[in-house]
Formats: sequence, C-alpha cells, structure tokens
Amino acid sequence: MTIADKLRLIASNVQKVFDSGKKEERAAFWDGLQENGNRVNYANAFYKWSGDIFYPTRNFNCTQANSMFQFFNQYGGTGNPNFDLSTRLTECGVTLNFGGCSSLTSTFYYVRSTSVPEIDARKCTNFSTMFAYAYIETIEKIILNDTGASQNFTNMFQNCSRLKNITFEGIIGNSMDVHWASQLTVESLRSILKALSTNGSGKAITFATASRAIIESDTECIQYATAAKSAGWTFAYN
Amino acid sequence: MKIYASEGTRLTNGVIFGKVIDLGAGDSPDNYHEISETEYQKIIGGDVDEFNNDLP
Repeated sequence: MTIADKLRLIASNVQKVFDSGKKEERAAFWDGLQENGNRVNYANAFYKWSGDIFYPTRNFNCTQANSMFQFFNQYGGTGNPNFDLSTRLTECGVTLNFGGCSSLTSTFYYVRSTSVPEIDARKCTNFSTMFAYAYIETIEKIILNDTGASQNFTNMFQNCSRLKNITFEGIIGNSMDVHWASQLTVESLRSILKALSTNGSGKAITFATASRAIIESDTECIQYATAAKSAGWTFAYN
Repeated sequence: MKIYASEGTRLTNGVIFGKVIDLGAGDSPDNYHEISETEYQKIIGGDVDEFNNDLP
C-alpha cells in the first residue's frame, strides 16, 4: 500500500473512529448513571432532561420513580415534538419496569412524548399527578392490582388534554377523573369502564362531556357502565 | 337517574363536579348542589399551564 493509500484509508476511518469513541463514551456515561443496571431509585432522575440525549443502556428496575420524568422533553415547551419514549426505549433495547414502586407521583408530570410504554403498577397505590400536564397521546397500558385497594388517583390525568389512547388492566378501585382527556377513543373508554371495581359505593368516575355521547351509545360501554352504576359508581360528565 | 346543571352552572357534591351527573346506586340528587361557573373556576384555580400546553 502506498503512503497515499494509507492516508486515504486513515481519512476514511476518521468518522467511524470518532463515532465509535462517542458511542463508547455515551455507553460509559449511561452505565455509570444506571449503576450498571443496579440502580433502583430513579426519583427525579430525568427532571427537565431533553429526549434528544436519552439513550439508556440498561433496563430500568425502579423501586422509586416519583417525578422520574418530570418536565422530560417539555421544559419551556421546546422539547422535540416528535420524540416518543416507547420508541426510544425499544431502540435502546431496554425496558422500563415500575413493578417495585408503591408510588408513581408525578412520574410523567409535564412529559412530552407521543406515547408512554406499558406500566406495571400492581404494587402502586399512589398515582397522584402521575400524568398531570403531560403532552402524551398514548399510554400503552397501565396494569393495576387485582383488588383496587387503597388507590389514590388524585389529579392523575390533570390537564392531560392530548390523551387519546389508554388501556387499563386490573381494577380501578377509587374515584378517578379523566375529564381533561376529551379525545379518548371508544376503546379507551371501554377499557376504563371495564376496569371499574365491583365495589363502587361512594365513588365516582368523571369523564369529559365529549365522552358522554360515546359512553351512552356504544354497546360495550353501555354494558360496563350499567354494571358500574349498579355497583355504586356515579358518573360525572364535566 | 341523571341530574343536569342549569346553564352556566355545575353540579357538585363537594368532591366531584359535572354538568351532568348520572347517579350510581346509593347516590342521591340531594347530595348535589349547583355552583356558578365563576365559583367552579375559583375552586379549580391553580390549574394553570405555565408552559402553555396548547402546543401544535
């Protein structure tokens, strides 16, 4: 190989070497941040972070996640409007596991993301302001416990006006207000209604006025709503 | 049984609010009273989106 050829080869690899170095540096940063996968306390971990720098390398196995993504990708309204947390986690090959959390207060407060992945909330009882002011269209699934015991849903969806799609598994055992989410699909409404506890005495589910037409005309919604009202749930349309 | 708020008011039992309340078994219209829209906005005041969440 001539010297010129060698120099051309070196020049052609400069970008690859640079990118590789950057990738290694980034991986080292994330390994440190996530304590090589051993970190479990993620409270406030990504407060005001931009989605553009979010490249985790390890699964999140959280026992504490209050305000974990508070103001994530949203602070000041300048967040990347196309950012999707679910997609980014998949791209990074990592999962977000809240199975160890008893509280998810403000976990996604003011987050801007097209969607949020499945949330195992079976151990959680405190959901207050969990998605308050979140700029989210889809919450893939929230898995609640099978009893509905001791749940606090205060302002869980406060000002969640962009929310269209949500699926629940498990039992909604306490009053919940989703009236800010006026664009909920019929499938989402069915899911909420189906999840309402068979003990609804003294409890209320509040929907947007816009949802009432769907709930009172869709056959499945009517079936679930009738059962819920018989069980004591009061429906408010606000 | 459904109860309806008059124009410009909302119904409340002190905890929940609505323009229409569809009472569950065991609930009663006597538990609800009307409040003006102004009163309602005062009660929920603080529901301010400081970052103007009405983004495109």
